[in-house]
Amino acid sequence: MRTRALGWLAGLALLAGLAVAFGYAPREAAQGNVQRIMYLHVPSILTAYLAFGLVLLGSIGYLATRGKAWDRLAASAAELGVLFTGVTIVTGSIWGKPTWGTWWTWDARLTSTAVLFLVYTGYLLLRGMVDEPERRGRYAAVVGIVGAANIPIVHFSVKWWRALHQPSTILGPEPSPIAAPIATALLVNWVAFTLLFVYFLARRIEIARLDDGAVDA
Amino acid sequence: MPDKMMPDHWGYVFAAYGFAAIAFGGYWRHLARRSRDLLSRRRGKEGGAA
Amino acid sequence: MTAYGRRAWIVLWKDLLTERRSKESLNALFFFSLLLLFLFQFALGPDRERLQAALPGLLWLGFVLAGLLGLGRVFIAERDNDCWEGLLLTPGDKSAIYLGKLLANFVLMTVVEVVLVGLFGVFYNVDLWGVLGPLAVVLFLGTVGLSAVGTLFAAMTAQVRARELLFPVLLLPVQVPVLLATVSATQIVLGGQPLAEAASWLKLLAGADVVYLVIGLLTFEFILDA
Repeated sequence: MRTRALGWLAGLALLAGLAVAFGYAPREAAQGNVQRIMYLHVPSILTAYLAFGLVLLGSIGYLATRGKAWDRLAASAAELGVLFTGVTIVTGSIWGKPTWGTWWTWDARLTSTAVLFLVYTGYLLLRGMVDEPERRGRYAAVVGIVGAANIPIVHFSVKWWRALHQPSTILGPEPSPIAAPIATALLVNWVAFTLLFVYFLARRIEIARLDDGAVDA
Repeated sequence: MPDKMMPDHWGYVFAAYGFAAIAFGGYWRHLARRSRDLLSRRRGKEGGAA
Repeated sequence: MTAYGRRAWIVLWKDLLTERRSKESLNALFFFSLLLLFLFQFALGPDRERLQAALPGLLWLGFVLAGLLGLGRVFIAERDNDCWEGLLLTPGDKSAIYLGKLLANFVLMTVVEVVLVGLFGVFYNVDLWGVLGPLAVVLFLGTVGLSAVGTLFAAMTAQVRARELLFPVLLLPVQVPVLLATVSATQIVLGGQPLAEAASWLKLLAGADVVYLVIGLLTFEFILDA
């Protein structure tokens, strides 16, 4: 019941986010209306990082306590993290086409997001390949910890790699210093995405709980 | 005036929002279907036991 | 020598001895490296300059591919010879086993890498003598990173169905930073620049190595368990 209320809240927040993104936020001076894609792109990557943080938390919790709830948290958060990084990559790519003139550049942020997407897709594949729940939990937890520890390493390596091979100036218009209404619109959408994430997470964990119960019975 | 530094490209904006709507909506339906399946299976099992 | 170090040493010694007697992995890996060299040549064509420009990338691609085949062997052998139980029953800290297996993998990879580098030098006409020292530093740091995660994931996937699929799928994305850093550093080194030019890459590699090693040592017992 509480989950349903959360769902409605998330839906309303998303509508408010849309209204703010298209009604309230002004047309950005340098990039024009294409910049409105940022109200999707930025909140979804922030949500994805939240998800991967929860994967790490759930993984450590599972290894420390062997409580199934931790494993369900990690598994559910990983699935959502992959969903949100997927949305980040596709919206970033759609933004890149008119802005950079190409669907894909090996831009530092796009590249490290893509690497995260691959790491956690591997995590989900591993979960699919181990049938025994207890072993699946342990293995997945180790991959979850390695993946999370790897995030800063990926971040720096990709950043330096980009700086080495191409000056960042050709990457086209960098967003100008963020104006207050744009910041507000980003904030509203970020809250909406976080609510959506929490709603999805609650439902996904509930499904995992039912699944575990079905196995136990 | 830097007003027209870039053309509008509304098509890309709608494509991005449309994609996000499909992705999140699709995932939401996927979750709803799975939880409905699991709940009905559980109910069926309990019904059989009773 | 402490009991911990002794246990790690025994695992390493046992693996090296088995490998020295059977030469199962090494023979296949040498042949595989030679094949790779030919394939790269065919894929890129006879243009020597193009090959040399792509050399650092090809070299590390070769190491990673050899690692995908070779790193899992130390655990597959345990499983095939029904020795897995023995590993599980070893008393004391399980991370000593990880350390031993990691060192065995490190030695195996180093031998393969040395041969592969030599072959590259001969086939692609690269003068390696002048840069041998700096190149060894890059190879060392990169191989530690590759083996640290590779050994951990190999132990995991040895027990999973479709291991030959899952091992690369898990290992490759995690190794992206190692690949970026080693390829960039190798490029600098082969370009004849001093090692200091690659200092930031080497620091990143060293940091990554430490992170991977610590995680491997801490989490290995959860993989071997049960």
